[in-house]
Amino acid sequence: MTLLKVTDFRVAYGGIKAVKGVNLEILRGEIVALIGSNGAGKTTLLKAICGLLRFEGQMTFAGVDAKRKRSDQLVKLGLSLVPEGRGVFGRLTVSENLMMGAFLIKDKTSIKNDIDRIYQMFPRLAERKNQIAGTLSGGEQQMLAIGRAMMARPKMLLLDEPSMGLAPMMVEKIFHVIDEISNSNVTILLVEQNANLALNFAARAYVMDSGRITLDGPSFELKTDSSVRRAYLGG
Amino acid sequence: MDIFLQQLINGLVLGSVYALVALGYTMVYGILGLINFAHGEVVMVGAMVVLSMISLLSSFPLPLGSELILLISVVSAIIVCSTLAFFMEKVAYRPLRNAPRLAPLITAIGMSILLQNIAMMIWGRQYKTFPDLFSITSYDLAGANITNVQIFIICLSILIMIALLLLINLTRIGRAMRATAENPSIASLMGVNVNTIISLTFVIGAALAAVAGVLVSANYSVAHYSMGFILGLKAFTAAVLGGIGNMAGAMIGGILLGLIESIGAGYISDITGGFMGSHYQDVFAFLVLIVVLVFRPTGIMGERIADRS
Repeated sequence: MTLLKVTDFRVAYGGIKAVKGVNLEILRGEIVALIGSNGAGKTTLLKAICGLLRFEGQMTFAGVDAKRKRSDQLVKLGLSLVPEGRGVFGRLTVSENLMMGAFLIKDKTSIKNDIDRIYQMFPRLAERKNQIAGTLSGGEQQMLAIGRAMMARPKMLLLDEPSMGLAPMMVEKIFHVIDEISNSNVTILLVEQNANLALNFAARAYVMDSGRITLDGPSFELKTDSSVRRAYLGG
Repeated sequence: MDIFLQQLINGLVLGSVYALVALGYTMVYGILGLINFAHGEVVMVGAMVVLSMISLLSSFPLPLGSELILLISVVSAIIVCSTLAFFMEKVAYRPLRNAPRLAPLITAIGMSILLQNIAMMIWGRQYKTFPDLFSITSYDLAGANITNVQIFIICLSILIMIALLLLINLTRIGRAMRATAENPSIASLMGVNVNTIISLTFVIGAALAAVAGVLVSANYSVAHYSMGFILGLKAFTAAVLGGIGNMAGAMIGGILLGLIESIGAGYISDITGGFMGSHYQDVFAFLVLIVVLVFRPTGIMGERIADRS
């Protein structure tokens, strides 16, 4: 069953066309990667899907026409983004950040349970729950950003470069958690510059170049594709 | 009479009014990066509405108690000012949300002039006196005078500020306001409707301004259509002094500015050997503004905090 579908999706910044007619279809429960080099338009595409940028073309999410919906309305429908560069609220504490993630959830006890679950997932965050989020390390901020997005109980999680700037051990830890999240029936669209990592993790992938999808298919096929190997896997 | 203590009391009264108004500036600045120069006019409208309501209710055939008249009048002022600010944001500032920063600033100044002129048409050019709703009693405090109105002003301001701090720091809406101030687009990714939060910020700021308008006109016993201009500029100075965008800063800055101004006014005649009188009071506020902008543009509380994200 299709969860997210975008058709002939175009985004422009002023006169500059960053996304030039992209089609994506993601099924419920899938882990899909979107790879591509710097400046290919991946982040722009994600931001527009989340309602942060205006786009032309069509988009449906969970069976609803999602065009011209504001990002807060999309969150309500079950679409959450973990933005590039984490985007934690640096002046709020760790627990306040998590509570912000549950902004639309009214039931206080379920918020409390969700927070406990996030703390189990990331014991590091529990240790620092009253600390101002701006003082966390990059990896801790990434944990917080993921935990915060999960607080909204999304149907689908969009992750923009979760490995960026993190040490290999932290990357491993983060991807372990993303895997756990996926097992709890959350659909995942993962944007990564690290194509190797993304193709090993996701079952299926899209390759984006200069604002267009140039290739798509199962990860194992893309891994052996000569053009992908040359451009993104370093050989 | 102890002049220093007297000026301290006067300064505290003045300062609590500045603090209430400065909060409105700083909250809007914190979220939009906009200096809402029409905020002073909201204070004036608050004062004018209260005066009109009191005279209207006093001439009411049914005898209402003074307390009830005041309460109804203040509530009306809060409603009028909040509505005014709500539409002001919607009409004048929202369309310019993504415009260069100079555009909304000029609009704000235009809005300020517009509101002054509308107020002049409604309430006239003459000074309006605050009706004697309550008899003013003076108390002796270690050689200085303090009136019941002054005590009321200080207590009410402190209560309102405590309530505001609780709202901002402990409630879900307050958290959303802080998050929006820090990063509106990320806040919207949490499901926060940023426009609602911005409207709410204007409405809260205006409610504080309305109360400040009542207090300042009760303190000086007069109101005038142009009273908001200088008051607004001084409250803006207070916000800058405390660190614009910082709420605790606005409170401290307001009180401090009130103290500087009234202590300065109390002694300026002595310092300059009678050359300058206490009517030079206004000089101090703007002197403070210049000094802060030159030596510490971030204000008292405006320290950059760790922000690694």
